[in-house]
Amino acid sequence: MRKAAFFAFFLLAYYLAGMYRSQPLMALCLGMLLLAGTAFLRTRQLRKGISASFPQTHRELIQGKEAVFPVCIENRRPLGAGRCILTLEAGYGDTEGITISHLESSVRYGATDLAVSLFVPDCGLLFLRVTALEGRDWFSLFRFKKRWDAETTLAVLPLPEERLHLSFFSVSGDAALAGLAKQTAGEDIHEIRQLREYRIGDQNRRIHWNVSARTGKLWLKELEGDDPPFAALYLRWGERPLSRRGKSDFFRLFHALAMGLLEQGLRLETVWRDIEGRMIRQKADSSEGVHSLLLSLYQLGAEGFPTEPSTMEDCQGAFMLDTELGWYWEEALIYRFSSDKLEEEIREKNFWL
Amino acid sequence: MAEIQIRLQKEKAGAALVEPLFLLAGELGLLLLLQEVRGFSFSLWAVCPAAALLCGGLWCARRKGSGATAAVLGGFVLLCAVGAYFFREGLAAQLQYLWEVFFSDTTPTLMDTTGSMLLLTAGMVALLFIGECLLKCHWPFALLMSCLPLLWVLAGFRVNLWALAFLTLFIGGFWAIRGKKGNVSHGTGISAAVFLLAVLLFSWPVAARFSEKLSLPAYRAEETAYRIWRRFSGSAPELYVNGGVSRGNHYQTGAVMMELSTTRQPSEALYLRGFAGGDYWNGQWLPAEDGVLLEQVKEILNWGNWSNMVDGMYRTMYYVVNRYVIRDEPPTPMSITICYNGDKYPDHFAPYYSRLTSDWLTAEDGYTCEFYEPGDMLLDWEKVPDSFSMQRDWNRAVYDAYAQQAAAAYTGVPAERVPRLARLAAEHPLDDREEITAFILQTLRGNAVYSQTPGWTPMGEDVVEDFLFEKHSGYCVHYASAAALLYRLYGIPARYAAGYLVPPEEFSPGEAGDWTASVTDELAHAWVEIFLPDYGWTPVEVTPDFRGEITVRYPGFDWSTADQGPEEERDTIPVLNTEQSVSFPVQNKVPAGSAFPKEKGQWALWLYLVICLAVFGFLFLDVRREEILRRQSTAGCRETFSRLLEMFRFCGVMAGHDGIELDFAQRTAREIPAVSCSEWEAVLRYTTMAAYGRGTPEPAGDAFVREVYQRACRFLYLRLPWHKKLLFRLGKAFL
Repeated sequence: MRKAAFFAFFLLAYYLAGMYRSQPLMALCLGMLLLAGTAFLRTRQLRKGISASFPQTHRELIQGKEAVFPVCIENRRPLGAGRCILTLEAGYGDTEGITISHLESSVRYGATDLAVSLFVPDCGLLFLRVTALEGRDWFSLFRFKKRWDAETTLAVLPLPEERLHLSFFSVSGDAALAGLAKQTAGEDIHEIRQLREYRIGDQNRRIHWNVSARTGKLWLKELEGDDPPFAALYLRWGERPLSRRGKSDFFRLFHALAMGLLEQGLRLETVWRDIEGRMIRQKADSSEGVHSLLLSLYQLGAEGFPTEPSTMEDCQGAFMLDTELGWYWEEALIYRFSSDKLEEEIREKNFWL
Repeated sequence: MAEIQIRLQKEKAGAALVEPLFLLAGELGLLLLLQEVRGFSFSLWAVCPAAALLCGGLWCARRKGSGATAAVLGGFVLLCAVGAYFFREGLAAQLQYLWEVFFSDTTPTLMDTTGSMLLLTAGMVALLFIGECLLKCHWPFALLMSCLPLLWVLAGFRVNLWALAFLTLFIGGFWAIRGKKGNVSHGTGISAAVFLLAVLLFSWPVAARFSEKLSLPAYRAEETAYRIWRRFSGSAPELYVNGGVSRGNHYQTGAVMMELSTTRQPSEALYLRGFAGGDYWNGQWLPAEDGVLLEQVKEILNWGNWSNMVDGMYRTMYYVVNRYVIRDEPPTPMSITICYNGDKYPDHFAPYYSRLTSDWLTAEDGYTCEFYEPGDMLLDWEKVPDSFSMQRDWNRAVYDAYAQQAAAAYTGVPAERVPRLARLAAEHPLDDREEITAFILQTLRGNAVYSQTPGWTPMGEDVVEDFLFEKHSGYCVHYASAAALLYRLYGIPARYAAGYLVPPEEFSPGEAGDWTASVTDELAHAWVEIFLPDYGWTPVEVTPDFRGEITVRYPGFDWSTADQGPEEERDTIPVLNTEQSVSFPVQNKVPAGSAFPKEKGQWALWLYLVICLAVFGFLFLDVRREEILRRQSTAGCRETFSRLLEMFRFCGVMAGHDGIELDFAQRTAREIPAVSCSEWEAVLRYTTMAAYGRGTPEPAGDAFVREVYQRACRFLYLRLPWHKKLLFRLGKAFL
């Protein structure tokens, strides 16, 4: 449209300049011709020299928060200059919809970093792809379009501060049992950090026989110098493929649960089956470990969670989390979270275990 | 489900710095265009600073926010309304004058219109600002600004190159910075502006030097389009016989208009007149009203029932008298048959000194005339045989009566439509016919060149005056019209004549022993005819030949421009001064009732300019201050600390301290209690780490240092005297 208007005006002005022998108008026409020629040349040069890439720095984003993400546009032709429109595609690798956006910026010789503001509502592995580069001169007279393929993958993490509020019902918290422990142990009570329920695999010598006899349940001594115990968390896949939102909720809940457990001084061992049915165990004793765990799950989620119902062999003494947002302890449902109110539930609910 | 959102982070307010420049360029372009309009007279010195002030003021207000913008716009409107009310009488007179300039036929007395132009400028600036900067709608204004220079050219107003440059800057600049969605960057705008100006700077000398050659393709295109149109429409080519003096170019198609057949080959060029012009009005010759004159002749002669012979006698008397003049070798008249190529005869073409020998209205195969060539004409009315004397007396009576009427009918010129021609004749008073003819021919030769593509005549401009005083280029219709008007201005009866000019070489021997010629539209021609004593209407060829020379021969006169010597030796060639317009007084004269009367004008103008400068300076400083503060808001701790030290030096606080002293924090805390000693120590720590530390500065540290800077700034500002406060804010832009 602009080009048509430009050349229509040029023809009219040239005709009038010739007919009326107007030198200023003829100068204008000449100038317009030069302008068009230069614009064409610069556009061609820009087409040859332009490229787009993602810098290596940013790899992670936080879900639900706007982040600035750099995209580098480079022009290797000194004569090339004008405006460039990037076609950016963002998606989670599934078929639920890819967001396409066109970003416009001016381009000169050299590299230009565009600050792209990204708002991602869901957790998971996000791919960002530049699929086309469209350019035009400053006056939008000439344009070009060329395909481009630059891709990067971002991990969209849940909010770091989001965690389930857990409180364990331990002996050290119960005055009666604490007193029993003191009276009967005959040991320096500062050595015993807390008592907890016995789990398979615990050392028998750590069983506090007196308390166990009194309560009818096996209790284990945790001493001050001991490493924090592991909390096992089994992940159970559903029968149906998860939507993008479903995966995001699952990751979010997993992260909140893991961070909540860590906050209680526990270490986490997560167990799940991959697509080939192999049992995968991964431990985490810090937020970095949970982070790494999450990335592994993101990879799995990007490929697609197994849809065959897994049979959990023995969940005794272990937590379980299923893709329906159900949280279990030894097959007993503790709570089923709701996708619509997940954030609220994570934030407000307190769990006594 | 929420969607992924991707958008580009845009630059903040600093990206629009070029907008006021482009806005001002558009405004100045408009003002310079308006100044070229005949009758428009206003003081650029008053209007341009006002325009610059308005553009700057509105743009600065926009940077402050929509509230400030609305307030400033409202203030402008109020100011204009108040000003218009207080100066309503003067403004009304100016607006009335402007109305007459554009829409009245009469020429009003020149009036200074600075007041109304100021009002108009304010309106235009506000409109451009709202459209371009607020609504970001460039298309309507680009269209308007693009069409204006074209309309100016069409209307015959001059288009100043600076006006074009400014308008191009406005159109191109806003076009460049308006990306697909709003602003892109001011860097793009500045680059585009510089590029546009450079391109125009280069184009102007090239266009000035090669303007003619550059125009050729346009003429070729027009000619091609004309030929195609004629071919497909089947319409006959336009000739000159409608009396219109063409305002454009002339293109030929080569179509055969008529076939001629003569008894022998003519020895001179044959003028076949089909049209004679009477009154001239606005580029159009009305047909000569010989019929009316002949009726008057009949009344004068009062021949009663014999009056009906007057028409026939008038048309044939020169032929008849020449035939009876006693000579040693009486010439033989030539017979010519004219057969028009077409269904009907639109006009009656006849040679001079001829008589019709067949009825041209009913002859389907053509009509025949007998005529004498000009070289065979020897009209000695007294030298006739006695047998013819009575007939001679009758013809003479008709001639005398007609000559008397012709002198009155064919010497009128609408001087108000051709004032420059009238002034030319008045400045060169001549009485002798031959001297007048020589003067006209020299004027035409010295001030015009023959061209069939002289270009168009602008609207409102007389085509003859445009030919002689502006374009200096034209073809036969222009030469003939100019000569006819000049003859009339000197009191010599003259008429514009049009028809065909058939040179002898066009004739070739025919099959029947005659000589035939095919007359095409290329032989269409216009000339001037003057009423000579005894000879009546005699053609005078005033159009240059292929060498550019004009040769005129009529009884008693044989003159050629080629015989007058080299051009540089010809003192008598009047060189027409085209700079001065006689329609209005010269533009640079201050008209009566000027906005700036001579006695008080000078100091008032200077005061006004100083005020404009002061306000503009203030706006500029404020914008600069905002830019500095904007950059400061994202500066690192090192830059902020340097700024802090600079501020201390300006305020005379902590003189001689560079921040590296051991007790810097304590001393500064004493001088500036708004910041505690521990905070100063933290500032020093962050700045040292940023300067010498291994890692990158922490954003939190930068923000802390900036916050301390702000507190120290406010504390020191309150303790400064007023003149230092001004410098503190506007000059140094600390706060």
